[in-house]
Amino acid sequence: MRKIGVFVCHCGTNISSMVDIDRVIESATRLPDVACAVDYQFTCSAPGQTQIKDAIKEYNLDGVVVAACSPRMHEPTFRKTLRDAGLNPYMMEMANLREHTSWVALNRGEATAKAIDLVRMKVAKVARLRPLEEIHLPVTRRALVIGGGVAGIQAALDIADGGVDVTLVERSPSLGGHMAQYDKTFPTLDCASCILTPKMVEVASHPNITLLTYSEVEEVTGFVGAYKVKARIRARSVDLEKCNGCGTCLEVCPVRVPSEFDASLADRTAIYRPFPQAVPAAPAIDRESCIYFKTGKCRACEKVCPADAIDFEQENEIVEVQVGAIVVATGFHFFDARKYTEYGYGSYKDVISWLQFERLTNASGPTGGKLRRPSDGMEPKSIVFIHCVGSRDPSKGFPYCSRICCMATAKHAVITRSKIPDAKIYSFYIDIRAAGKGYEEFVRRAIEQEDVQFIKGRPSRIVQSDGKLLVRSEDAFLGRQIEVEADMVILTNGAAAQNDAAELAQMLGIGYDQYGFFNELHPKLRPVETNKAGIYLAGMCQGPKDIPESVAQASASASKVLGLLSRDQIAREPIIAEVDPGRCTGCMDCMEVCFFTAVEEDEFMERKIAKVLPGVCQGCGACVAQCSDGAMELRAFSDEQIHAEITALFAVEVAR
Amino acid sequence: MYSEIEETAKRWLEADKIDSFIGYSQRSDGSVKPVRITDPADVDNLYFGDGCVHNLMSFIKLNGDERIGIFLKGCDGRTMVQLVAEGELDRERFSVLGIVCPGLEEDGKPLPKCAFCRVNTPPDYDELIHPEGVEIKDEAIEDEELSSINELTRAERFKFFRHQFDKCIRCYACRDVCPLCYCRECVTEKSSPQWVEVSIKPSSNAYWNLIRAYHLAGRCVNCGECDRVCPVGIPLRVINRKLANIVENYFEYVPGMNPELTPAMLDFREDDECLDHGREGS
Repeated sequence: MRKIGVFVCHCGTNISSMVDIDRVIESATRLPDVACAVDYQFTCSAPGQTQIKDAIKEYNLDGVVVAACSPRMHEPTFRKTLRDAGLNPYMMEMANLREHTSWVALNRGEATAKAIDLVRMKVAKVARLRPLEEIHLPVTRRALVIGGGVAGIQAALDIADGGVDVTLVERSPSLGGHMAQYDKTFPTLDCASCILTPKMVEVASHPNITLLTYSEVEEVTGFVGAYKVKARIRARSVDLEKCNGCGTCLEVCPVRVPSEFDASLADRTAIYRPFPQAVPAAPAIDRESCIYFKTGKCRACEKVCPADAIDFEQENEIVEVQVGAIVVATGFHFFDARKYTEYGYGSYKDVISWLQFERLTNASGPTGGKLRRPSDGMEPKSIVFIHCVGSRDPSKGFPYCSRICCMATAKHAVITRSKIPDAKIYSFYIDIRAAGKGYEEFVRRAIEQEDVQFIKGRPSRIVQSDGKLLVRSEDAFLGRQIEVEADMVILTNGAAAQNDAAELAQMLGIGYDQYGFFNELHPKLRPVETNKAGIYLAGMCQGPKDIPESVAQASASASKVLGLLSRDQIAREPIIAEVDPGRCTGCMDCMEVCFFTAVEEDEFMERKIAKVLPGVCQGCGACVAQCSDGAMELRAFSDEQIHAEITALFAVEVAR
Repeated sequence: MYSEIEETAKRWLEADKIDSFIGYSQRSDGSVKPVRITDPADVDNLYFGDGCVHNLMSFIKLNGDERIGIFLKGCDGRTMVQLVAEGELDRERFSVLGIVCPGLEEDGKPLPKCAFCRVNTPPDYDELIHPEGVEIKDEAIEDEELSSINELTRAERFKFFRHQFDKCIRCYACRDVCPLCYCRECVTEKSSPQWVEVSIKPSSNAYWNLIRAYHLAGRCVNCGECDRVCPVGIPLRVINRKLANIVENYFEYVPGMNPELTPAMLDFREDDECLDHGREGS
């Protein structure tokens, strides 16, 4: 006979207002195996925990049921209470009388009946629990950061400053991400590259950072503390060691293709450096447009290179690193405004995207910072901005708010005013969202001091006539249709997840939402962790956010990484699947269904069997359900334990 | 009637390609029994024709190292492919003599499973007998057999099946004959904990029949052996077909067609269609 203690929490009145606590206690007392059943106002408080500890000693308890809130909240608290009282922490179960009962039940009678059932089930389970020991795994003191935008840069620097080695993998030839393309940043109008490039340089020169640009993560296996990462370094065709970044090659290359960095407003060469301050400064040859790779002739860059750095023979290289933790900072891409055919983006030259506007006002952009419209180079005198292109619009774009566009548009309007003082500036919006330090003030400045006409309304159409663009819209305040003549229209297109986000998430085994943004573990309390231990999120890849938020999240991820890697060993929950080697027939169906790649082939008495990797298994139980031989069992969720719960639930039904 | 069967079995046995050959043989009263032949001299007993309903894949051992020659119809051939796809069978051990099956008759009428047969040729074979005038079927045909069930509302369907399950005497013949019901320890035989009560009562009967059907969802190849052996006439094959139909509609997976394809129930994909809307109504 077990000696089980039942501790029923009122949770203030959260539980007791709907559940008759006295009846729960009374029913629990009558159960076999129960040595004591008591209640308390807040069982999670210090006196509440002391009540448990005292009872463990007084009644010599060997198992505990805490009937309170969700185990997601306080399971760790009560595990620790048991440990402090000298009991194995896994000899405890929580009955959820709050989220599963008082908060959802329709009346007191139902809530109380359910609470009694849940407690009875948990007592039956605790009577069959076995002590479990935590799993200890060694830790590799190196981190991987995926993505070299501002979030990835910040995460890498913070981790490296904490004394841990970092491998930073960036897909494009240079660090910088979208921020490097921007002109200025709201609400302070700092020059974006002036504040970003010092950080880029610091990454390149940091002794603890290994920078892999023009590279992609190709495979991630393993588990927290010991992830094995394969990265592919694409052939740059330029020797990073030899190149001195002089740029002579850029002058002789005869190829012209649209520049990604300048959002197709200007051309670049086939051997190219995305922007002058690129890190690393060595250019890369885009083999798809290079004449030599297409026809076997040219090699002009090689002839002029003073450092003998051009290497046409270079091949893709796979590098393998083992890391203890991973920060995912893969950013976003802009919503494709062509989906709004009524705005004519892509066919009207003077209807441009937000990113193109950034390049047009940027001093290092194609016009040297002079605001000129793309079609004829004329200085626009009437300029229209349209908010929420692709955002807050489930029919053509996404239902969510991209968060940054209101402020970006206010910034664009203010920059326009400084460049063309006599311009007419209109901004069509749905709502102005300016929650942030100094943000509302900045929008007021645009409206009140910079004479920007903010018009509430979503334009229905843009038509071109006589070299003018006519923007038709409702004015929601006036309640009628208006038409505005514009020389140039800027579509503030929202933020979308990277096209290959789902692919990466699947490779890493982390969750993502319907839009492709990666899921944090808890929307409030665990905003940078993922469902996979040791993998953290930073920046836009988790959802739209501005630069300060991205940087803050990056630093938060870095602190999580440093915390994790400060230990020699990681303790992992022992609730994982276990193989009975005698029953396993080695069909490996468990391996097929395992979402976490936690099952491997092993050998037992000269035959193939399955083996569960303790660090990787998350205890989801998919393999247990799949196994046709009954060879898989989930610790603390064994058939015997679950069956006991079900039996306990129905046993009393009959007696009633 | 099909001298190729005798000829092939003999050739394989004499060349020591196989240790034994599994096929059909006719008794003196005209009924048919499965046979396992190890001596090349015995091959003239081999037979194929009406009555060869047994799925010969029920007669092989999944593990072991015996090299087996086996004569397979389309449905039986799909059984082998499914076992290989599920990692239960080593294909190398088998030499398959397939036949483009003309369909089997009983009392002058085609067997129900043959009337609605979609695949009459083993998807994977080493040698094939192609009787003259028999067409290879590998396309979906209009599924009239299920229409009577599909026309029922959800509640009516549940009532129909509950009634069928009430008849069950839990002899487990359906399980024992099914070549894809291969769990070493069946859930019905577990004693700690005991999930299914031994006594014959409606709740345990329904439990067993539902578990059996679910465990075959996306796996059953419509060989109809369960149906044939059921002593109380539960339309087991139709239940299986209904589930197969659902799995095929959602996951575009037809079991037993390609040993390389991951079986639907082992294949978790983020973009798998949400099953919710299939529950209501229909």
